[in-house]
Parts: sequence; structure tokens; C-alpha cells
Amino acid sequence: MTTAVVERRAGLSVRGWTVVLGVAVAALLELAPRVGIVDPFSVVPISEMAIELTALLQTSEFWASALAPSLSAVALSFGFAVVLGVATGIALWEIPAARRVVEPWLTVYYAIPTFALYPLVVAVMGVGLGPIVLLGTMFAIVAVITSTLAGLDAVPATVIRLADSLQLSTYQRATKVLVPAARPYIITGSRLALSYALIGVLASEFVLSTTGLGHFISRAYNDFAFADMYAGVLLVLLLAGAVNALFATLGSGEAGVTR
Amino acid sequence: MNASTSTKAGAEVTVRGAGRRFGDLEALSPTDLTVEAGSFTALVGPSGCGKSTLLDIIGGLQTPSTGELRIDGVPQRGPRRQSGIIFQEAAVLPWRTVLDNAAFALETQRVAKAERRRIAFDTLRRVGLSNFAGHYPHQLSGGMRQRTAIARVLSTEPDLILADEPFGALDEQTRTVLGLELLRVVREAGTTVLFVTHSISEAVLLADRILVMSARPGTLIDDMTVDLPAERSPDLLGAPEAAQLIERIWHRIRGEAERALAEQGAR
Amino acid sequence: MTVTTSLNTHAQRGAPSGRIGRVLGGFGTLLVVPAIILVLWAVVAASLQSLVFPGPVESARGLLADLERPEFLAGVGTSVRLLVVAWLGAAVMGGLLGFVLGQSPFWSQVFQTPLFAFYSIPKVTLYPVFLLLIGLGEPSRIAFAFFHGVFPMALLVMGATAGLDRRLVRLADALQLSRTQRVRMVILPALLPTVLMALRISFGLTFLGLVLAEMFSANVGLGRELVNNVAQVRVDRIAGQIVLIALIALGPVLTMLAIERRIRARMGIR
Repeated sequence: MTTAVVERRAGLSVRGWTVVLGVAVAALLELAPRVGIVDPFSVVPISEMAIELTALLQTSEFWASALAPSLSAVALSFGFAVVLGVATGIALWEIPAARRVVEPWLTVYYAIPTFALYPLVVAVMGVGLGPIVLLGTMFAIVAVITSTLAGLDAVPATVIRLADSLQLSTYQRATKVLVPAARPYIITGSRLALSYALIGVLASEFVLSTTGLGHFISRAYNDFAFADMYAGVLLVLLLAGAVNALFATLGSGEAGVTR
Repeated sequence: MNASTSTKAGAEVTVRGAGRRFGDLEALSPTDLTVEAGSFTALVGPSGCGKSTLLDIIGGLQTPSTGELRIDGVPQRGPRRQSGIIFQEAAVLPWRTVLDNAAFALETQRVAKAERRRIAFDTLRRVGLSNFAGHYPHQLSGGMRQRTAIARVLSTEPDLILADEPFGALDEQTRTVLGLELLRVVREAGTTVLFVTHSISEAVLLADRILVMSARPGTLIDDMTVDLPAERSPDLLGAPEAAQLIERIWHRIRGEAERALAEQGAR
Repeated sequence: MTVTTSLNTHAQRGAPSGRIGRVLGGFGTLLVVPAIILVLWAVVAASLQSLVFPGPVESARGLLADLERPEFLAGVGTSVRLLVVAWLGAAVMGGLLGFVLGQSPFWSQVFQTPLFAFYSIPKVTLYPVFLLLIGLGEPSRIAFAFFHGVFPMALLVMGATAGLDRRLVRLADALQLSRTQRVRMVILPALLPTVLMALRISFGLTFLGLVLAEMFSANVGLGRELVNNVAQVRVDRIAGQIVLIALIALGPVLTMLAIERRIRARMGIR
């Protein structure tokens, strides 16, 4: 009974209403401080955020001390998380005993504020790129491991039997059969991992760091430079939106939050 | 026609000019139909012909766009307590045991706990599930899950049972066994049964009357009585009368399916 | 999986002693990972200088010393109190929002995108906005922690409500259930496993939000203690406090997970 007609409410499709919602929020952010619903000192209209951000993006200092460190830390964290996460996922899937022991902890992992480890890492290693990438990777990796396991569980038994019959080496078996077979799930997991890497990196920078976008925002707040602060916040939101959009076009966007 | 000595008479269903459209799509042409009290009637036809729509209308799950429905002469709007509906996929609640599933309908009618459990257990015995009262649905086979759903329907002693391809999701052997069981149980109670099936042999095996529907927009095109002994068994399908009946129905439905295909191609 | 769960339930039915054994066995499996971490930790700490990187024993001592300080205990108390308030708020508001939006598959699709966006953005950078609007006190921390927990709760409950098994809805129609019967006897039990999972995830994120807020601006609380100790290079205390945070998180989470697993096993879903 599936009809090809797109469902509409008041003439608008799902996508249309989503856009309306976005525009409404932007309009509220613009108007609330202007009309005086919120204190204009505390919240800057979104158009002013955008103007300030454009100005910031034209200074090389902002790129060097804020944007470049954050982006490279996110890229490194994401890369480590995907490579190590897929490898760990495959290893756990191949060794059921290890999986049985580890799996409950994968399930509760995001329920423990692992971020609490960051001060310890800083105390041991000092501030710098290393601790930030470590935290970013830790935030992101478990999403990849979990989705890799789910993806491998969904591979038809015949494919696994085929791999067995070909007597592949461990590496070939992983790269030629298991990873391609679990690819859709790995992509979904990577999408989450990129979001998590961004969260982990920005949170680390925000709390304890000397560089990066997160540090830029927290310093601007402490210096009462609210125009700069809001420009930074807007950039973070744009980055997060870009990350989501990137993967939304890549994958079909199934499976949001699970576990 | 029915030799059973019923303690509780089944309901009589009268449909007058009932049709259903969804926008431009006519799912069911205005249809007239009378189902006698205590009869076991099968509804067959090509897929998508509106069999389920007609059944939903009689069950009160869909409102007809035109026409009216009377049960025992009383005009109906919406679902009715005394009608029991058996769905194709066993509609059981996975968090309840077999016994609590069988007692569910009674529970919603606020029957006291001890009483509904007694009735539910008794019903489970009638469908051969009393040994599984404490099990959860996922521990059972598909056939046993459907038995559970049937037990829930029987527990309220309905005067009318509407079944939409009740055994469609089961294997051939299980569906025959289950069908004959259902027939035995409803005959004892004298319940009226209207059931939709895509299996012609199942219709012949179980029903005492078979209605054939045309391709969409569906309407009744044939109405036949099954002259087989009251005591049904799978062997009866080998009898010449049964074979003739199966062939006749098969030709009607094939003709309809071909006509529908030709129309689709012409569009 | 189906086979093993049904086997478990049979064992449960047959022998009560088997059930205790199973629980203990499950608990044993659970302890393997912490044991490995503990051993690795001890080995690494022993091979490094213990001043820079404390071993488990030093950390335990650090924690015990902390627990004798009344101001530390007061800080822990504050954190736990704020966590409970923020989590309950997120659970109730998120659950209701998700349930209401989930009534319509259309509107739940519309709200899917913004809810997921709020779930996945780095909310930490928005904390200064909370401070500017609400002030430096406890309400800011509660609101920020709530802000972390409410979206996953709403998103998961909304998805489950919108995707409710159609067969159950038809069954409820056929049995002419009243509105309250429908919610109480069909919809809520069907949503229960998802609601429990959502509560668990929401708890973890609420806690994360609270620790972040405390690290940035609080004068008391677990996050504050961590940052203070970084400044004073009291690494042993940091490690001890991390263990305490993990323990506080694990108690409720493991309990919820155990309940959730039981219900899922009974319903035969993974």
C-alpha cells in the first residue's frame, strides 16, 4: 500500500517543515536580542555573529591559533578512531571470548564521563596536541567498534563461509571480505565518530588548553569579548552542521543513536 | 446446513451496498452480502482485490464510504465487543505469557483476575496450549503464537469471528492442522466465521460457503456452497466434488488476475 | 541469540540456584575488563616514576585522603544532587516530548533533524551562553547537564513511539481499548525497553555535561576538584577522583542495563 506521493502538512513536505523550523530558530536568535526578549549584552543577534565571524576568518592569527589546531586534532582523532576502531571491532568479532568480556563495557562506555580522564592526561603529559587527540580518539572510537560489530553480525553466514573456504590470510580476510561486507554500518559509525571527535576535541580545548577553537571561545568569555565568543560558537555550530551534512549525503542516513 | 447443536447462536451479518474508496482509488465496489448465523464462510480472490477491506469493514476497523453494515439486524459503527478478529500475523503481546495473552481481551473488559485466568486456561486447553501457559511468545513456534491469538479471541466467546488470512504465515502442514482445529472449536460454539484466504484448497477444506471476489475494485462475482461431509479431513480434498470446486474457483480467480494484469498493462 | 535466551529462561525456570550462578557468572565476566585495566595501570605506573603517574595503590590512598575532607564530601554531594535533578528533568521532559512528537510519524520526521543536531553538536562551547543568561550559580550547571541529556531521551522515545508495531495498534483497535488502557496495556509496555535504554544513555550524557560545567566554572563539585588538582599537580588525587566518578556512574547504569536486559530477554528481543 505504499504510495509514491510525498506526504504533506499544510502544503509542506517533511523537508519543507524542517527548513521552516531552522529559519524560525534563526529568526528568533536574530530578533530576541533586538526586541529585548533577552539581554542584548548576553546574546548577540545572529547577523552580528556572522559579521564578526567573517572578520575573524580573515585574520591569519585566528586560523593559526584557533582553527588549524582544532581541525587537525579532529582529523587525527577521527582517523585514529576509524582505523583502530574497525581493527578492534574485527578482532573482537573473531574472538568471541574477548567479545563476551568487553561487550558490556562497550554498552556502558558512553554512560561514564570518560572526559574526567582529561585532567589526568594533562597532568601527566602537559597541555598540547597529544592529550587532545587522545581524548578525541577515546570519545570517537567506541562508536566505531560498536557499529563494526553490528555490521559484522549482519553479514550473511554464506559470505563468511565463502571467506573460510578461500583460506585467506587474516589480513586479506579482514580487508577483502569483512570490511566491505560491514561497510554500511561502518559508515554510520564513522558519522557518529566524527561528531564525537569534534565534541571531544572542543571540550578538551575548552576546559584546559592554550590553542584551538574551544580555547578561543572560553578565553573570549573570560575576557568579556562576547562578540568574539559568539562568532566562535557560530563557527562550531557550522562545523557540526557540515559534519552531519557530509555524512548525510554519503550514507542514506539510517540509524541515529543506538546503544 | 449446520448440524451442530449450538448453545450460543452465531451472529448474522448483513452488508448493504458497502464500498470503500481512498481518494481516487476504489478499494471495494459497493457490495451486498449476507452471512448466515453459524456458517463458516471463506472469501477468496486475487491479491489486492479488497478482501481485507471488506473484512475490516465488517470488523469495524474501517468505516465504509457508502452503504451500511448490520449485525443481527443492528446497524454498526466501529468495532464491536462480540466480534473477534484474528490477524494474519499473530497479534500477541511479547511481554505477556501465553496465559496472560489469552486473558488479555477479558482483562480489558475488566473481568476479575481469577475468573479471567480460569477462562483463559480453559481456552488454552481447547487450542492445545495448556502446557505452554507460562511461556513467552518468542519461545513458541509461529503456529503456537497464532494459537495464542486464537485463544484470546475465543476467550470472550464471540458470536462472530473474522479472520484475515489467519494461517497465511504458516507452513502447509501447520495451517491444515490449525484450520481444522479452529473449525472444530467454532462448530462446538456455533460461532459465525468469515475468513479471508488466498489458498483455494484451504477454503474448500474448511468452509461451507465460498465467496469469490473480482480484481480491484473488488466485488463479489461468485457464491458457492461446499457440499462436503460435515466431518472435514484433509483426505476430502481428493474427492471429485472437491476437485471440481477447486478447479472452478481457480478459473474464476485466474480470469480476474489476467484481466487486472491486462488493465495495468494498458495504462 | 533466540536459542540462548530461551535456554536461559528455561534454566531460570528449572533451577533457582542456576539463576544465582548465572548472575554471579555475569558479574565475573563484567570484572575481567576492570581487572585488566588495573593490572595494566599498575605495570605502567611501576615502570614509570610514580610521582608523575600514580599506581592504583597511591590513587586509592589519594581517594581515601580526599574522602576524609569534609569539603570534598560536600562537593561530591553537590555533584550527585545536581546530577539527579538534571537527569530527572531530562528524562521526564525528553520522554514526554518524544512521546508527543512520536504520535505523528510525519512530525517526528520533521523534528528528527533538529533533535539529532542538538544531540550531536559540541554543546560544551555553548556553556558560556548558559552562564551569561542564567548566571554563575547551580541553575546554570543543572540547565547545562539537562541540555546534554534531554535530546537523546526525546530522540529515542520519539523514534520508538513513531515506529510502534502496527499489529499492536490494530489489536488495540479490534479490542476497543479505551485511551488509558491503550497507553497502559499496549503502548507503554511496548516502549519500555527503549525507554530504559534512553534513560541509561541520557544519564551518561547528563553526567558528562555536569562534569564539564563543573570543570569550567563551579566552585564546588567533582569537576572542580579535578581541575584544582591539576593546578596543584596532585596526580594521585586526580586518579582517585576519576575512579570515584566511574563508580558513581556505574552503579545506576549497570542496574538499568540489568533490568533492560531482563525485559528484553523476556520479550525475545536483542
